Amino acid sequence: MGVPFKQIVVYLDGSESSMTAIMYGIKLAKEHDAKLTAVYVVNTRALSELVKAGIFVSVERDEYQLDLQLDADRYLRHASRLAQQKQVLIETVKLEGTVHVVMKELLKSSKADLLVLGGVTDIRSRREELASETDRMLRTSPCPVLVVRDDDDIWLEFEA
Amino acid sequence: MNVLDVLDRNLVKVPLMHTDKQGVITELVEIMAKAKGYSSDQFEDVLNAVLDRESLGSTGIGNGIAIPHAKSDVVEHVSLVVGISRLPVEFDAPDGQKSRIFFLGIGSFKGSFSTC
Repeated sequence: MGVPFKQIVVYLDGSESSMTAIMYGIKLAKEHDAKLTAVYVVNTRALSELVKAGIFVSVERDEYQLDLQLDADRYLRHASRLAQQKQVLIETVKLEGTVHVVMKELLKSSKADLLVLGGVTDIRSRREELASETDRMLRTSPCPVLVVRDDDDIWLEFEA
Repeated sequence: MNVLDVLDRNLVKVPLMHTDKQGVITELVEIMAKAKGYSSDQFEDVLNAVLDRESLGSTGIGNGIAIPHAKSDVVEHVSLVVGISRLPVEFDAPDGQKSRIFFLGIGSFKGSFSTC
């Protein structure tokens, strides 16, 4: 059992709550002297589904995919800056594919012993529960999962 | 993101008044412009963006549903309008069915990176 944690992975999806998660992950990595990895997955499956459903034409898919790639780079750069502020080493990884599938592979191959997630959505329907990638990661992760509540206190404490 | 996070009652209209494709799109954009207080230039910008996108291929997806959409500099975040027409409207859907339920979606060129 990996306690204290040695390989912490934080999943970023561009949401405010995933930014809270990276702050929490950085503090945790510092406390445990653990290796920290921040991961952003460009959800190419969702884009392909939109083309398949006839909602996007292929030129739109390419445009949105580029937007997401740029977003991924910016969020990962921001995670690096935050880690640097706290003198914590961080590895950033940008992946593409079906989010919960590629995350599961990464968690296995990196032998992660903790996955840190931001907000698990408020579920308003059974369908939503099945569709949320964060929820699916929570259920399919091969390692323990820590869900960080989106809390101003974490931001304040981090910035203190 | 949840649809309910970007939708409020001012962005829903039942029934829509128009019965042709261009009329319905214009009506949906008007609803958004009114709810969000856009100027006439901003209204035109959004409308042209949606019509330009529509010219690449119909956003009628079948089963009576159409999702006209585009990106525009006018919006900061994703905006959505829902409209339901009393009469089915020809929207060139692949299954040949006319559309009655419309979701107008406008995305931002600015991307989602706003927290950093």
